[in-house]
Amino acid sequence: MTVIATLPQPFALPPLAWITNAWETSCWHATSVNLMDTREARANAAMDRYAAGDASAFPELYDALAPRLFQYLLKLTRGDRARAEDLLQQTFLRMHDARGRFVSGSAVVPWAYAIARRLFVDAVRRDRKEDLSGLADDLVAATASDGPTPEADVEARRMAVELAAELERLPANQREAFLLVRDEGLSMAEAALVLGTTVAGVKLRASRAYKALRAVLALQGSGPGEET
Amino acid sequence: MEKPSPEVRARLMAQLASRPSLPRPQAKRRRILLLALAALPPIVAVLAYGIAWDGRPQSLVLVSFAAAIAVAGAGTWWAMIPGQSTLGRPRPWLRVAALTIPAVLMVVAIASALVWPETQVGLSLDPRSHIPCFAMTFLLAAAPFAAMMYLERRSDPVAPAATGALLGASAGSWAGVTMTLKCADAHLLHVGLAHVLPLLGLAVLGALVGSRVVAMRSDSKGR
Repeated sequence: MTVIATLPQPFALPPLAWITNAWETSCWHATSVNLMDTREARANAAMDRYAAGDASAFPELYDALAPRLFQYLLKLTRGDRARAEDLLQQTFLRMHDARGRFVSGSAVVPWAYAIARRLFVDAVRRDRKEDLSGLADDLVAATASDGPTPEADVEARRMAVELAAELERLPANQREAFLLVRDEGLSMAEAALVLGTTVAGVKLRASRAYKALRAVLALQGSGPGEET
Repeated sequence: MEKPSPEVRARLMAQLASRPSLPRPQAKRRRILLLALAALPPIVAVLAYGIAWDGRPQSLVLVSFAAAIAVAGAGTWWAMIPGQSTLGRPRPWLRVAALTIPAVLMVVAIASALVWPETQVGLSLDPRSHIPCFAMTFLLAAAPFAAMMYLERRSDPVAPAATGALLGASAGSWAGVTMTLKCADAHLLHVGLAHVLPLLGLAVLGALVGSRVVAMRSDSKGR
């Protein structure tokens, strides 16, 4: 959601600066991080209480986590609402089943994301089809409404499609690291937990993804779009 | 931002009511109880048959026993106690730990051979002489292996095979604790073939079982 929200910015900034700075300099991001922190703290506390046996904490946990998880699942399922809702329900059921394993004081968000991701992968394996490629449509839809002029709108669409196509071409592990860190706002450490790797591993994967996307933006910069 | 429909929430609340799950204090008690039960067969084996000294230096037996306990305890702790995160250890660390267990036991055996060279004579070259210890390691590992897999079932959304491998190697090392007391043959070849090799086998078996049993999966009752 954040990548989508910041996509129009490359037209005002050099490509490299967009990749490295857009996130940090966005006021929208600063606000969303604060909101996210509050929500996360609430979710952590609710999960802790639920794990300790307080059944009344579950609705609070659901309300704090479900919207964010649902967005993530919608992206994974290419906007298939019914499927995303089914996976969301399964994710919370698994969290309920395993609540006795929740470590007191630990973060619930990486755990929830990891469960959702695992259930999605299982579902894809069951259905024998790959599914992470709906991002192009999301990006196009998101950028279409942000363009100030028709020309910029067309350019934004073109850029979004290029970026999404490049993202699709990336190896799955790099794409997932990029989505979790840039799009879902997870820290490197949290993304490492979700993906079952080390922080250094996530950094490497994400930096390779940035490099590939930066190359696309550099090509765009040297193309006719930049000259006009 | 799109939100899930309110029906999902309502459906979930209805399902939770008919789906019991143990909260943390009860779950913890059950884990301790089951692990204690799993430790019974090896303890009973030692109590029933005693320690086989057979001319081995007492210090060698004690060192081997202490090393086996330390390795088994560390492996079990690493696999089953998640640390600061509910998701447990990263996959590479779990894999390394699963391979470290047999490696450390082999290193201890080599060090022991250097300290007590008299234990390296009289090796039987008959492969059949290694089979009983090989089989006994698997047999004694069965209870801890089953208990650990049961306790960790459907719990790992990230690295179930790696967790399973470490559980397998840990279960094997608990069997190794008993074997250090029961087996009087400290020759390196025997230790390698009959005591360390089964641990690698159990790690592979654990990875296979873990990817099915330990993996967190959806179920048909989800909807």
